[in-house]
Amino acid sequence: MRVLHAVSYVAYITREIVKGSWDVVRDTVTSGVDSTPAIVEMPLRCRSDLEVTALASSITITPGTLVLGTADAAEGTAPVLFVHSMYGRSRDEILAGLRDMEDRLLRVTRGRVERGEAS
Amino acid sequence: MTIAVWIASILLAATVLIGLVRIATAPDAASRAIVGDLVYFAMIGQLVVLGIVTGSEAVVDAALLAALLGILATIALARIITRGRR
Amino acid sequence: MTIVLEVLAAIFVVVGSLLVLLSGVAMFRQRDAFARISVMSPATGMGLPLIVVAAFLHRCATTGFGWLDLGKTVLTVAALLVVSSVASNILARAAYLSGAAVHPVTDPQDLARAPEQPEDPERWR
Repeated sequence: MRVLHAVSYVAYITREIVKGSWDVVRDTVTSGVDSTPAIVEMPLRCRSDLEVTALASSITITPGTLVLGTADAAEGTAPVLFVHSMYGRSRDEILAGLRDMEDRLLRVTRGRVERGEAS
Repeated sequence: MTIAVWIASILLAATVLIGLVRIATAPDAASRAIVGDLVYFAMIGQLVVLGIVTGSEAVVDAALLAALLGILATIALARIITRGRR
Repeated sequence: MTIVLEVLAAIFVVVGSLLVLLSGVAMFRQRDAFARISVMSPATGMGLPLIVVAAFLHRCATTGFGWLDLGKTVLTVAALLVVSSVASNILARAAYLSGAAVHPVTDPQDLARAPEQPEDPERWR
């Protein structure tokens, strides 16, 4: 099953890259800048280094979102990513997109995912 | 195919040129670093396009190595920008 | 079959290099260093992989399909995606640590820095 999840994750990332590239291209060829930049703090459900690194790379390779830094998990708190987003309209919209990506990644690394767990 | 390869080559060369202009006019060091990265990747593209023209097999290996080693220049620039802080 | 591969390769190589060029143009259009790092990804995430795949399709059309070629192509695309995104992460972090200015329209800004950012219009060229 995990292989299937991994294949669907690759397909998902490809779709996101194409979608994000289209956003950037449209912004570039039309006059003016219509980006609405934002930096949001995102508490993670990922725990291992592999999960955090894979998620950070996936976020950065998607055009329009960029990881600025990570904060390690301290006692009792989750690791945190700081994400710069270009075309998200509100904090909730940006975080919803990132959570979706995290869900799909955790399905690859853990096989299943409990929604809302420990975040 | 020949026409497509020519168009692609010209587009990539244009990217390198405007990238160099942008490096000269960029307001801060981080912007210069990222445009330098873009110029590097445009040159990898140029290399692959050259490989299509000549039908050379070694060019694919060269592109693979260039993609893998491209991070070194960026890390060096990042260290220079932060003046050695990690 | 060969002609289909050739046409696909031609489309891919032109679209790929066009994306790289548009990323270059976007470097002029965006307003701060972080937005510029962000608009790198169309070039490295889609433009260059398309060019590499086009080279593979062209080889398939001229000398025939080879598993070794396919492996090298997949490896090159994966290396481009992973390496360029890790490089972007490192550079973005370095840019922030070195005090590269964040454009004032950035909102919400959860990483607000303690020192005041000088409001100098000359910065946003």
